[in-house]
Amino acid sequence: MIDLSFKNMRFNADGKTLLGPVNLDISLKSITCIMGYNGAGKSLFLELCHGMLEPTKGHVQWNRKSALKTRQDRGFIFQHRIVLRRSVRQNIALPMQAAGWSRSQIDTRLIELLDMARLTPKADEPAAVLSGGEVQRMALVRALATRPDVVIMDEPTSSLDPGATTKFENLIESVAKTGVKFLWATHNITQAQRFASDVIFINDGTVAEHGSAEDFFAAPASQMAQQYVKGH
Amino acid sequence: MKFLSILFLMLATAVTAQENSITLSSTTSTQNSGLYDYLLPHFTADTGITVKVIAVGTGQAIRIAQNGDADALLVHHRPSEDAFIADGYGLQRFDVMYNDFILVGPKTPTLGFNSLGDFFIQAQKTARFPFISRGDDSGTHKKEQELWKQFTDTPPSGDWYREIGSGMGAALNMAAATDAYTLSDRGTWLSFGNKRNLTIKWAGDAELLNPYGLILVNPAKFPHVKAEQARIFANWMTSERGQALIGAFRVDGKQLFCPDSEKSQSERIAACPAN
Amino acid sequence: MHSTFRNFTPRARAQHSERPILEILSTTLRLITTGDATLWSIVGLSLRVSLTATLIAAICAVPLGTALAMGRFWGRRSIIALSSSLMALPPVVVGLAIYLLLSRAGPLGDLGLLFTPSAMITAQSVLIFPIILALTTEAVSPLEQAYRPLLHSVDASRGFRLRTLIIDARFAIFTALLAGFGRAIAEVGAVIIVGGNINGVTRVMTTTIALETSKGNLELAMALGIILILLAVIVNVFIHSLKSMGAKYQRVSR
Repeated sequence: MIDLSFKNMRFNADGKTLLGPVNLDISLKSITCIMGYNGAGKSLFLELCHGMLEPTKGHVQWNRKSALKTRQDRGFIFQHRIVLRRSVRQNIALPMQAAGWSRSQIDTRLIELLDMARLTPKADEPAAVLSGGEVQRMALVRALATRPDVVIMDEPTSSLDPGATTKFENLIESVAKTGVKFLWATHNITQAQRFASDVIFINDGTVAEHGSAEDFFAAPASQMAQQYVKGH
Repeated sequence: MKFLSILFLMLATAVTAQENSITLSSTTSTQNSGLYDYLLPHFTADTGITVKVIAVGTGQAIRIAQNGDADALLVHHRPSEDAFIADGYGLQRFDVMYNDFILVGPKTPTLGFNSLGDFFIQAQKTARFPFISRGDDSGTHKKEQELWKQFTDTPPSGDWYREIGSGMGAALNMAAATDAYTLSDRGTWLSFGNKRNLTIKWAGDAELLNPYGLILVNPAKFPHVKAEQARIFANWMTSERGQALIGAFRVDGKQLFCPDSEKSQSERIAACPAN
Repeated sequence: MHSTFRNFTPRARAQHSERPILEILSTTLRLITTGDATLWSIVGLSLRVSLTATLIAAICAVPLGTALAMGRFWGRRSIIALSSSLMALPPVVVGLAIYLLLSRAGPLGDLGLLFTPSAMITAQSVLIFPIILALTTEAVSPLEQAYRPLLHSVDASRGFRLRTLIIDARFAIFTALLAGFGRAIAEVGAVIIVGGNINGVTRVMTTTIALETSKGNLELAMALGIILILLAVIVNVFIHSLKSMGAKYQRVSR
């Protein structure tokens, strides 16, 4: 069971509340898509989920443990590619090194990760030369390196061409089948409709709706959500 | 910070290995004459003691010895040397050698004067002929200041009197370039290659004598000083052998220093060949 | 006339050549090719002092400079202020300060380090520390900005972040070290005070040049100056070739 809870969470900056108050108690089923207009607070929400930001008030917890202290239990993929000035292999190794894995543990795990991402032939190339799609696949296996239960992704396919997007989505699907849960921010409605088991809809700095994807897409509760789903 | 001090200690231990040497604080003019490079290897061959020479301006040389950073001091300014001993920094002084100062100036135009003292009086009175002063508290500079004081009532000043704060070579260069007068030590003058219009205008007076003194730094004040080896050095420098070597030192065929062994002033000048 | 180099009695001034540049170049060539032992020991000491000083300054300044780039910590502002003021000091002042420390009359006199190569290394390390610090911070800052979210997302420890940044910014850091080395090998003010320019013990290229100049052996001094420049060029070329060996991963995308 992977439980995510927000207790009276508020995030303020410059005197304004950018996100909150949020009260949430959910058990992740498989792929939870985070949706909302640009500027609504999706990225903020994800960073708070991952414990990258400290709430101004309240808590964010995973299975009753503070998100701030448990970052190494999860993987994270950024919207903009962040790539170390190293080889593909060394990039993927990063979370394992940070977590203190031994050299041999890392090397073993790298073989399967590279294979998963179909990047084995390019393992020793500089990560900088990878195409957009390859980088995101690399980012995904990097996020999976330490075998987390949850991977959080911030619009990972928004800058990819359709071919690369498909490859990435296939990879997500196969990983999700192994039991890894995803929090996936996307503004691609068809993508969400295809993959999401649950949806969290963020609007105007609050969690406006959350529930099963089926329910959400069939009959969104709020007017905002309805307009959003229709593509306005 | 801890790291830094460990590093520092490593450096320190690498260096404090005992070696048979003394540190001699002396002046640039003595060093630049080449005397030490010629003389000291003989001393090392005879005694096995290496002499490390720090050659700086007279003021700095004395200060280094006052800080206890040298085992012996060799300079050429008697009042300073006497004060050094009187203040307890020096244990004993030895007469080692002497040469002289000379007044150099342009062949033409000339300032008329009939004695050493008259030069200073006339120079100040006419205020037309440039005079280059070292201005750096060196032995030469201090001698120059004493001469002004001895022969005139007021200190020199004005456009004609130029204090440059530099070494002897620089002063001679400037004198040559501006047809100026200056006080120089004979050693630097002999090896100076840019004489141009300059020539020796006056020399030989007792006031122009330039005696060198070797002083042992006082071990009572600085227990770490290598007193024994410094004394060996002083004894060697004043021995027949050391004195003979000093007198035999030649630059371009000319003798630079006259060995000294407690002769009287007039005897000194007579005994040493004029150049 | 007398010079430091036994095999090199400069001609008496009266015989100065009409073409000083030619004389300088021929002196340079003669110095290099006749394998004058004094010259090579002076060159060797210069390299030893300045390279060691660069190493010591680097060990202190590179991690500190990287830490400065990484953000706030207690004492950060003071370090930056202190370092900037140190950079404004002329070498002779740094030398004087170290002299006062190491003199028998000073607090560290009992170490007996004055007038030794160790004192010179110390003075030069202090002299170039702020340069390497500032250039390291500058080199690392953009990388730190780029890496920060990623390193934060994997909960990397402070030490891990420091190592990652230093390793990935190593080429720019090497350039910082070269700048430090250049300043060290070219300075004369600090080493002459703490070293004493003792013949055969603490005489380096720059102090020899100063000495020969003061003796009026200008062509010899200039020839030594050319050799000094050649030395610096060789070190630069060597470091740059090291750099290009491992530069494969330094390409930045986008």
